[in-house]
Amino acid sequence: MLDFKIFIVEDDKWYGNLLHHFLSQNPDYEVTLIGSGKECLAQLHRKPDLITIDFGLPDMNGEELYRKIKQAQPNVPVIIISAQEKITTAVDLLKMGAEDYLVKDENTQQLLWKAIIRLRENQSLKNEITQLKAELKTRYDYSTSIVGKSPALQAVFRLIDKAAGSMINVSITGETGTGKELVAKAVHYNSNRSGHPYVAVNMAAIPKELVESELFGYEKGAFTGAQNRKTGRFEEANGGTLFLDEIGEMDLNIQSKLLRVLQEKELIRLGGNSKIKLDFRLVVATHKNLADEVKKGNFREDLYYRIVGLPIALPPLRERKDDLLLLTQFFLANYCKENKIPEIRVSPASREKLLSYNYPGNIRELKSVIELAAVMSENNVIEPDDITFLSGNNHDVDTVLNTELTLREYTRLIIRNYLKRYNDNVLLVAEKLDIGKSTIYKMLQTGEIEGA
Amino acid sequence: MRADHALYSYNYLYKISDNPAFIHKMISLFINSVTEYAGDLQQLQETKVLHDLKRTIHKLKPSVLSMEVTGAREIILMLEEKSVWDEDLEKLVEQLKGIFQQIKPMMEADLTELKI
Repeated sequence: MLDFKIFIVEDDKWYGNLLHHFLSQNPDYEVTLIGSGKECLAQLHRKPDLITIDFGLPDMNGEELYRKIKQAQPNVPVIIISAQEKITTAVDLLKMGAEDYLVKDENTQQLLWKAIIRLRENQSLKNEITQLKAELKTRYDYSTSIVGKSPALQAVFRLIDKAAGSMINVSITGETGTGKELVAKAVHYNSNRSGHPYVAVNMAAIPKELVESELFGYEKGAFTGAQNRKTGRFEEANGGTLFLDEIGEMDLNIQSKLLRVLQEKELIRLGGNSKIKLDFRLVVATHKNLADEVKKGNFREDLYYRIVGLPIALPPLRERKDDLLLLTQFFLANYCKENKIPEIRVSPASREKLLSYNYPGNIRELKSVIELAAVMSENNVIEPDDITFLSGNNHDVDTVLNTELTLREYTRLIIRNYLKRYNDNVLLVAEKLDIGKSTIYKMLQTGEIEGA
Repeated sequence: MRADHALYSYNYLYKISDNPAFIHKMISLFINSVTEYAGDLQQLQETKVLHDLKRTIHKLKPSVLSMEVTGAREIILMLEEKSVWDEDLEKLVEQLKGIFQQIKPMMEADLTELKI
């Protein structure tokens, strides 16, 4: 399959044919030998994937041809091949953006071969990155990733729009599980900074003594154990968005340092001297009321005003019950897709049960409830008995999905549930779980699990 | 046909491919090139424009070196270093021209030997 077009621009027929023959050994390459700069420019409409040019062409030199090619097709890679060994010429052309500069000698063909392989690998990586970025953008298109039609959520969408269209800092508040990070990502991936990094840091998850080095980075030898320079999260977010989750947990000392970074738009790594310029949008989130924290003296007032920017308050799920069934459908559809199983429906009685609950864990909790219900359901319909809420049940969703259990404990829990579902039919359960029946009998005999 | 000759070598070509059609084509192209270069050098001996001589040397260098033409490498390197057109340079150009004229019929004989 010919899928990579190479132009060899070379007026020395002997050398040109040599390169042509050599490169044509790869069946994927469609190689064209061109004898002059003018002819090359006239052929550019054929959209080559790579052009190699001889520096000393009779009608124009390599530099002139390079400029003209780039004017017409800025993205086409160009490799200069020349008998000219002057370092300055090579450096100048590489500075201008030439892909490579090869000197004509006995190794040129091999070097060119390798350069093309390297180039194609880089192009493939670049394509992959572009594709992933496009996917990310789609993923965080909030009209599809944040589900709901309630007026409360529509108001949030409007604020996300406002935030994405400006450079303002954003503060997101809401109970746990309301989707604060999803909103932060929606702001980033719908803004002009979407092509730059999105860096999320959960302040509650970093030990107090490590926060400073994590955020600011450090130079080699800054402290015992600092064996190499480390870039901090502020720097990683340069050009993009820094999301500081649970900012209410930030230590007062770090708060003052963060304030300084936001004011000066620069930082000095721990143990360093040089100032590093910063340019990022700050998005913060907290489940706490920061204004109250300011009053209590737990949060600096000056920092509060600096970060509050555009406040987005996310409503708890209990205040947007209109969205509950939409969200249920969304999670179920995702679950079925991920597990490659047919569509699961929710019976009318189950809908009533789902709507009757308060969801203190909000959307995160609803997701867990739905996923567990999907696991427990039979005949592709979720019945009320399949739904287990957090409160008043030792074997609830949280226990199953979020509590740290040993593999053995999980095994026990799953087998017990299956035995219950299939009326203690050990053979059927063994078949369903694809395990040996003796495993289940042994667990029943030893009392590790009990029958229904 | 032998790859090694007293005054030149096809080893480089054979390293790239032992396809006789390729070898034949490359030898033919080389014969054409040296004929052309010998003519260019002859003309340059009359005009004595050093810049044009350097351009010609630059152009012929890769193929002549790759074919390991005996004595040509040294002459080319010395000519590259020259900054004035003097008697010494004139002698070097004459020598290079002579080498080209000498190897041309030998290579043409090789071509008749080479079966494609």
